[in-house]
Amino acid sequence: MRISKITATTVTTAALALGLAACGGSEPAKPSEAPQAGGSSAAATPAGKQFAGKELTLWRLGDVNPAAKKYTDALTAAYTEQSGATVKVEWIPWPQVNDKFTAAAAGGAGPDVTEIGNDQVPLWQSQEALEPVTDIVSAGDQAQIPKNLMGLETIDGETYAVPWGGGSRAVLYRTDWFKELNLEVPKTWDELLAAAKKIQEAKGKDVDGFAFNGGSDANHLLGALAWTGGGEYAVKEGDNWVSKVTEPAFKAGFEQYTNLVTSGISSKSRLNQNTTDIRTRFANSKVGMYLTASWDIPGIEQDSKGKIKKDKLAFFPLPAKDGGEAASFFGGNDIAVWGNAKDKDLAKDFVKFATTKEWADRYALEGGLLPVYSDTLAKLAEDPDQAPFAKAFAKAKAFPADPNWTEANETKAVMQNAARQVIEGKATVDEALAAAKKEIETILNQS
Amino acid sequence: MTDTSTLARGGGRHSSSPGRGSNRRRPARAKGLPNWAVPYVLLIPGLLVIIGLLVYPLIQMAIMSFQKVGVAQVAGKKPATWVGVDNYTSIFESEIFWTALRNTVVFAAIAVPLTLILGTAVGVLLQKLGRKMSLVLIVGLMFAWAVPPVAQGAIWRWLADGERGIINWALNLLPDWLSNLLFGRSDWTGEPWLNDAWSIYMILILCVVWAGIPFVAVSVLAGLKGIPSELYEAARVDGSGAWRTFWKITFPLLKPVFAVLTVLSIIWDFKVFGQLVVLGGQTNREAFNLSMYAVAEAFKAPPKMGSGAAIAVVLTILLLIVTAAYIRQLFKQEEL
Amino acid sequence: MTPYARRLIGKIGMNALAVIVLLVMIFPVYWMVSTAFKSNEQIFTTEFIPFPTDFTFEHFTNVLTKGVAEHSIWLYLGNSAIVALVTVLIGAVFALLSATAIARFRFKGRTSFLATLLIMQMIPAEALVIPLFMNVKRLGLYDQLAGLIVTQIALTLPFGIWMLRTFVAAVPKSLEEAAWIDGASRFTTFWKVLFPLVAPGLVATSIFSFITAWNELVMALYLINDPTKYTMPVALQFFFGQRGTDWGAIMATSTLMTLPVVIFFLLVQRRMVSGLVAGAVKG
Repeated sequence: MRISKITATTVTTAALALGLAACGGSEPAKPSEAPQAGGSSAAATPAGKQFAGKELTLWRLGDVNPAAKKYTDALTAAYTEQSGATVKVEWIPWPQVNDKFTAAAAGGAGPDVTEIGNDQVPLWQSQEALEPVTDIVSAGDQAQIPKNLMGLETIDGETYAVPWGGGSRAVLYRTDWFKELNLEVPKTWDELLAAAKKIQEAKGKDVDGFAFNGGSDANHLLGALAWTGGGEYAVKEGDNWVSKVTEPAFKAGFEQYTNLVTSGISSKSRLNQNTTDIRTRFANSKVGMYLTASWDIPGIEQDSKGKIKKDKLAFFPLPAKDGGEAASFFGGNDIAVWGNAKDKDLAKDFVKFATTKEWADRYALEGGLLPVYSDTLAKLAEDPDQAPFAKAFAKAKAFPADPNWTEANETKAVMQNAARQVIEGKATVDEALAAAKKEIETILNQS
Repeated sequence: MTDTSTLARGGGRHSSSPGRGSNRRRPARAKGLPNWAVPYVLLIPGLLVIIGLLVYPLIQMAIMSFQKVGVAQVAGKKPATWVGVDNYTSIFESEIFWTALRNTVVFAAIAVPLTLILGTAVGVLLQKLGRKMSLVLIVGLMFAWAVPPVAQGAIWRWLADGERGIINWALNLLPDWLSNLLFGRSDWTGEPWLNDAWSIYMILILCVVWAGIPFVAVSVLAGLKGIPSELYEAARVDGSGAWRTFWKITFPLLKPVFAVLTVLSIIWDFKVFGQLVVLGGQTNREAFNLSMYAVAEAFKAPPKMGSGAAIAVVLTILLLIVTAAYIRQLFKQEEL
Repeated sequence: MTPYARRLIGKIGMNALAVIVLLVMIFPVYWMVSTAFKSNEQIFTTEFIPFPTDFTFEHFTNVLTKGVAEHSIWLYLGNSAIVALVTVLIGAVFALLSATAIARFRFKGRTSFLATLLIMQMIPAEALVIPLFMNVKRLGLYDQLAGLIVTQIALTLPFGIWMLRTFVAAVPKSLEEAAWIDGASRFTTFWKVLFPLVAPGLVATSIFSFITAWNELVMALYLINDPTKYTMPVALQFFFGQRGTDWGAIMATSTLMTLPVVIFFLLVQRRMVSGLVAGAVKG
């Protein structure tokens, strides 16, 4: 059964992260690595441009920042140069990605190629919205991408998306503020809270010491806290999902999460904010720390009009309650061929081009993600700036691998509502979690 | 009803108006199509649109509410399957449905009367003002009227912002003793208005009433202008006060105006969408109303068009029940 | 107190009240415009800054060049204008024809037609969007402005006919009869006699349709998927997802979206008041 297949691969997902961080370049680089601008397809069509005059629509996810735009412009220009086809780029903000995919799948009007979150692949594969790209990942440069990175992408032996860049999250903070207030990098959760309080005292009541995320990507923060103590959203028992949110381990993480607001470290007036909202406020010096990744840095530089630059920013791993690193969401962005692509050969060719070592590495390094090619990742792990991510990556976990997870996560926003109930004092933690458990089970177990 | 003559509809008002000699009057005929066919030809485009794009989809909607329609069915990969009343039972079992129903009804029950009362008051005020002042006020109303719903939502979300919103700033201006007396608190900084369903709807009411006043006021003003001033003169001579005059003269004469305004307001407020999407956000399901719940079910991942249609059916029936009295009355008293 | 003094006080009180009402009604609009002209420093403060002292066009140039997801707001203004104008043009012709049929003729099915019109005005677009999505898709018009226009015509037509029929009915029948007697064809009569007299009503109806189509969110949200085909309401709504707290940009976009409607309103202010009211009230 397909579902059980996915579940099986999730286990690998957690393992793969460990493997990745540990293996650090142990995999020998293959000779095909030589940077040739065209990748393999250039060689395939030496004479004339194969797709001259054709057009391709690419959806990039997230908002436009200079670094992402620069990379995309370079990528599409190089592809046009090589194949003759023009690439039309649309930028889809993260909170709307699933809405746009839904419309594209149902309406039949969508992209030809799209960037896609690795956790979204099972959902859209189950809706028959993605085209298999198994042949791409089994040849050429792409054969070097570790297979265990494709746990979520491989379903019933077919691969539906090519990993483009990996990501785990860490806490972003202002080094200048920490210096000014004589703060040390927090090693435990309590130290983090104390630092957050100090920042608020010094910078004003309207500053969030550590920002609470209750928006569309809230579970990245809640998940990190809950997983650390051994909590789980749901576990597959037999054919059914059983939610574990009422168990003590999850409950402890959930309380840590809601306490961010009830203790006043993050303002109650922004319960719905997602990472993008927090980032805008951070850029305007209204947030001390928040959980994110280095892909936010170009946006912060832009929003603050250059006042907050890279030299004032640094990351540390989210600390667990009693020290050590917390778990992190195992994130990653893939690139996939959309099922309704007008010209599937062209779309596949583009995906192949974009995931060659040259362009995949540039995608990751310029966009603040972890590269999917192991030797590049190994090189990166030596960089002290990236150490927090490598550490977090080692403890990365994923959400329940079920096509219905998106409904619980975004459409019904189950955990966000549970947190709101608790924060507003309408329900106790136990009541809210019991209701959430019931709802998660209903959603995940529907056919 | 079956009379196909081209005589003007029985307008009691202008049936006797023609000043032409009645002896010269005879059934007039124009060249071209036979008379009976003319109205049907004229109606063709309108009918096509109304039947094809309103009536037929309405029937489809009812049918879909008994089917399972997911992405595969919409995309034509699988046929829609009949599921009986499953969609209805599943929405009736959902807590979100009952919250949405409550939100929809309570919101309309408060917003409609408020809009009508305040709008009428402004309309009466407009009539009493001098020419210049009245024009200035009308122009001012036009500005508020012109703001599109999504932008209205944006403006009020900004006004109600916890930290930088004017509403909290203004509340902080109140003397502490007064604020304590009224609300039991004096510090409003950071008060979140857009977290909780009830306060979201409070802001939404402010927003919708604010935006609804101009239309009501201007309509009432136009109605008032149609009332002969002698009636008011007579009332003044009788020593009738302003309040009494309003209930004895203005209100009865403007009853048809109020009927229309009431129904329009009910329709608009029952399905308020653009403002709510912006004010409540798309993830706060406690603040859903039926419109938002219907489209969220139908279009958000994974799409469930069947249950979306079921919610839409409930919303439609609700609206028809609420406005049925008005429709009946129109049919009774008006010669259509 | 003499009656004169009482009247004077009453008058002053009335005008004072009018000023208060005016301020309350206009403040939110003023706040939108003033925020759009403030610098981010002045927006991101908890203080009350009644007037943008560091007046800037930054947010306007920002949304007009980079806009939403790298597309200038001009694109979305253009899409909205196309949708609204085509809806108005086609809708006005259809509505006039139907209104003439209803107001000038008694025929079999007339009452049923009127009842349908009335009931269709009660049906929310939020409900119809689900089946219309399927139909528009089947017609191959999904993700196209044409598909959106078709639904906008459907949404505005019932009210348009309902409103226009009173205007048509108000034109004395005798004028047309005179023309017929003089041997004019049906079309000439319609064009030369009826049309000029109904024109004010047509303007009122068109403005109503224009605003409905310009403001419409739910159809535009679910019948269009290509970001280059968004209309203004969708673009603004998406701004919240993309740059949730960039109030300068959001208010600048809101201002640009409101501006055409305000201009429209002020141009035809007097006519609209009489037209809209006559239509709505006599209905």
